[in-house]
Amino acid sequence: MRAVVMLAFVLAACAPDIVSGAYLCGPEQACPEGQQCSPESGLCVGPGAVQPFSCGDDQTEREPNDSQASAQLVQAVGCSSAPAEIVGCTPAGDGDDWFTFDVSANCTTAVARVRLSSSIAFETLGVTLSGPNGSFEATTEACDAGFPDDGEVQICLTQAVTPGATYTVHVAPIAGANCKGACPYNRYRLGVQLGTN
Amino acid sequence: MSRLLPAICVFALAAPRVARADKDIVIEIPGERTMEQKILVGSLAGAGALAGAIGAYFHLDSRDAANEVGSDTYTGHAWTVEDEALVDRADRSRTRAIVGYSVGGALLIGAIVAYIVTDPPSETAVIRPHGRGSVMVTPTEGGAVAFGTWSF
Repeated sequence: MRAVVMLAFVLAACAPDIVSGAYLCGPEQACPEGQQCSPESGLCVGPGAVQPFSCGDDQTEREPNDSQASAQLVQAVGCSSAPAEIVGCTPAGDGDDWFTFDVSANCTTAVARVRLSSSIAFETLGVTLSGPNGSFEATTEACDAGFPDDGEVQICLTQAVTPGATYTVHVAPIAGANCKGACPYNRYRLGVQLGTN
Repeated sequence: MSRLLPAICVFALAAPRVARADKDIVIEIPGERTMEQKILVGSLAGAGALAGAIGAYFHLDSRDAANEVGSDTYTGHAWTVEDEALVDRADRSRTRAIVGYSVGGALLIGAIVAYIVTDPPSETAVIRPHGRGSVMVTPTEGGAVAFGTWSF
């Protein structure tokens, strides 16, 4: 009997011990068995610690920006500058966010680099750049930084822009994961940068 | 001294077993297992050890997978299908380890039982001295020689 107890004790150490909050939520809010994704923090936690989704306090996105006409102006986009970053959110029922920026007429051979980072756990977001030359969608393949396992997915695009023109950036849900309708929301960071070829 | 040793051995073997008649020498001959019995015990013990080793292998594999995915601190990583596969592997190997240990333990117990059950009985042999029935010991240079005749 003692041997059986000892064997059970030794083998018990072979079951993974994962504390609450050790992992970020995976795709479609995936979490270890016995834990659930807490939309508020984006962490896998015990069932009693789950909190509903919230956009957080660090947002720089300003509503209303649900249409091209009411697009939010992205500040500090110079001809060759550091990325202007916007911290945004697409809560349930408010999935469309529009932004706009101007390319100075002084810029020569300019390209726009747009990067969107969003949580891998919630609804998949896409970003489209529109201007006088047409509309262009960002893709994961266009990002330089591979696929870091940090709970976020990045999509990027690099597109030549016309000096003196105005461009819009549209962030919205696209076909992909949404937990079968259970996670129609997400948080994101949008970076816009102008540079040379 | 070395030449005296065989003679001493003869007496040493016979001395404690002398019992029955005055002149008879009674010796106990230990029995020996048959080849089949030896194969049975050896096979059970070998199979038990092998099953135990397989159990230990899966035990270590399960522990490695569990350690790889288990964490008591914030990892900064998202839960992925790869992590889920590690959990499955730990669980699967754990089950196999339990089976291996159980089968190995049962076989080893079976080997012990078979060893006890097949323990051959010893035989008793009586050696009766011929003639006068006495043992004659003749000293030699550096030792001694024992003479005697017995019937079995």
